[in-house]
Amino acid sequence: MDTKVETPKFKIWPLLKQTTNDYWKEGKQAREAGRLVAWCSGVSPSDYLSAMDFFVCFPMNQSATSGVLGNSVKMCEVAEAHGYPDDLCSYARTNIGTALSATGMIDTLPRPDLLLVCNNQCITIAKWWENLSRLFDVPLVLIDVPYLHDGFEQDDVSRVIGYVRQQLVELPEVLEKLTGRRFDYDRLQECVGHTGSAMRKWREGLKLRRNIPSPMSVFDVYNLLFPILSLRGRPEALDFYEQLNSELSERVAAGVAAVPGEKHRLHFDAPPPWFRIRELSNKFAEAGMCVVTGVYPLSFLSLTELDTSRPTDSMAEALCTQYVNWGIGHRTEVLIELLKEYHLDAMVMQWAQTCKPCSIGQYDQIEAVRQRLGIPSLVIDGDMCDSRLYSDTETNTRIDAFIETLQGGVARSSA
Amino acid sequence: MDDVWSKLANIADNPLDHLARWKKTTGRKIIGCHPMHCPEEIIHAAGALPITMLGSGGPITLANKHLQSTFICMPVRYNLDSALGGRLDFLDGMIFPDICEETRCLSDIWKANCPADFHYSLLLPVNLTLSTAKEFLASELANLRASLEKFMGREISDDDLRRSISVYNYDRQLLCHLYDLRRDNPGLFQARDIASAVAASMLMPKEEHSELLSRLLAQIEGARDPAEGKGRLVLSGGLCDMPELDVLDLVEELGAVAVDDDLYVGSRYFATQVDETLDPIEALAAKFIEDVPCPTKYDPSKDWGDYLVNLARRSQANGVVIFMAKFCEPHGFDYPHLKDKLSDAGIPHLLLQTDHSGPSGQIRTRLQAFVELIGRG
Repeated sequence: MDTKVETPKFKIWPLLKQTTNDYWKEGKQAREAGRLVAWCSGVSPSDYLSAMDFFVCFPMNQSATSGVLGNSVKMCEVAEAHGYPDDLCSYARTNIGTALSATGMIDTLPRPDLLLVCNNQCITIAKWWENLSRLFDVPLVLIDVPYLHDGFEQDDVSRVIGYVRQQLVELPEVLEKLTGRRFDYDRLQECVGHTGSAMRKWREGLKLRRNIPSPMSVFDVYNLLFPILSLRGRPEALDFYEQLNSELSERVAAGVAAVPGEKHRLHFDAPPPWFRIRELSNKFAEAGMCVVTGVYPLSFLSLTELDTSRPTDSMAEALCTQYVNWGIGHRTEVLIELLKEYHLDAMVMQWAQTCKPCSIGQYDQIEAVRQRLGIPSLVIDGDMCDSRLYSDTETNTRIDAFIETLQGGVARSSA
Repeated sequence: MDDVWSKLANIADNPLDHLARWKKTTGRKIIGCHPMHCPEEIIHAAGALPITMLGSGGPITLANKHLQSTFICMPVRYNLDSALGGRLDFLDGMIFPDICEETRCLSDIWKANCPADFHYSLLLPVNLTLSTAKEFLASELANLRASLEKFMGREISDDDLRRSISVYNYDRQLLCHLYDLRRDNPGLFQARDIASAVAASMLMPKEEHSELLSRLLAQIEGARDPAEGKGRLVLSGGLCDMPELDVLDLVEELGAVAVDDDLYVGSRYFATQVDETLDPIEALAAKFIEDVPCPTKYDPSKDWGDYLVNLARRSQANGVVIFMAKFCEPHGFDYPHLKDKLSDAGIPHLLLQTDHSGPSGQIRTRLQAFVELIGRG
């Protein structure tokens, strides 16, 4: 591409930066302040821990950040030297490698007193946490969420939700036993309320991407995910997304595009190659392509259903109906609705080689989308953190060819 | 004696031809069980033949349009390829226990692309420390029972289930007995024959298998060959997969013997009996919970490393060979722990990552070096 495109900067960046810094500062001081620290998976009932005043952090974020900073392969190699095969989830290898190579403070993550994991994101994540539990010799709480397969009847879904609900009913007592501290049910209600309202606000913001041109790309979304994850269960998250939404609405009113001169609108599937995120963002923007949507925000949206008046039930439902916990057929339907709702005209499917639940089934999804909507897909062979599985030359050649085809073809039908 | 061994080997070597013929002759229904942990007794009680889908090696063509070859394990790709290629047309249905990312996704891809009269995704609890895990599994098994009743058009009574459990327990006992004999007289057996004997149990009516095994055991009774002076190996792993027989042959070829195993097509398949005194569904659920340690289940009270160390000690092994299917995440995540436990116990081990590409020079060289390292018993 011959011209560099200047994408508009968000006014909210300084607040995001401040929020992030404050969070990590709080993390550093948590132990001194006598607070317990928990490592949680992204779509887990971490609000139960917030209700007990834990400092809650999310190793998956740290792995993604390591990817962006270009440190992850080094960490993967540390894990591999300890016997972890190099085909395991690279988020896990990055995090375990980091844990193995540090003492006390792990980068920005304070040492955990407790581990909480929910296998609704994948089965793998529970194995990752099991290893962390051995490594740190701290208790592991595993919320076991069975998968919702294609063809399940309402009865089957209810049985699964009932199983998860019962675990949540017992969770406060488990936590009381592990910590020797009393569980505060009122605080739980508050925390669940904060998470639910922030998620709903965030979803409103995400929906503004339906506008043409889109005020926000998925690359912006990745950056703006931090508060919804890390500030879960706190009032600050809602404030943040209220401000963000005003800015997005201003952009829509003024016709400000995340990608100036937006010509095509894309969906990006599976976790992105974090180590090339800037390059990819620029590459698509330079071609006038806005990557509008992605799997990541979808993965958290079930939390919009959290309801203060029924914290346990709504949490059980939200955990079970998380996007990646559904069968491939169901997920394809969600994808097809998304492609229509956001007026998308192409998909970029990354085969994240070490993220199996996101990558297996993509062939069938590509075919269904092509047959039913006539929307073409580009396949990138890569990974989220392990850059050794990614070829710049091959990927760039494929992207260039795809862009050429799209530009030669018919532009998106209409709004 | 050779006659029985060759019968078992023949079934294990050509399961598809053999099953297609069996179906033609008997007219009975066959249900494929994707590994692992399928409650075969319920299918047996329903009057159908449960068989285990033992992935094997071979060129994959059709499945490559659905499953990426660069990061999905061979057993899953091979089985889908067989189905798409029409080689499993004799099956009346499939059951997919939800044990890993691959099989979970495979179930839905299979359902969409190879529709069968009966398709069942079986949910299994992962966290066995939960007070509700067994109850949840029992409700899943009861649901499977009801679905099979509907499909087979007949009731499955508690007595039917009890009879099937008893048939299966008997076969498990015979296999245990065979393994007891091998532990004392490993020189009487080749690793490939033992693998075939277990594989055959997964691929033919249990009653017939038990009869073959009984004949075999009667013939062996009293024979002795403790294989003194040879390196004693325990083989572990090979989850979901038929071991590569050519690779197993290297054990004897390199002057060692296999004295016991912790293989999926091995002791993991039959090590645990089902309690015949309990309610049958509850007993099957309890068996899953109480079974040998498995990396697809979370239960810190049952450490796979300790289990493997004990198994190696009980059979006075000099070393352990771990077979790990390429891309098998549950196994891979447990390997560093297994490695530490074995080395703390002073038991040497060798890890072989396999994908049915045969006994390559590298595998041979590494196994040879390992056999030399552990010395002679």
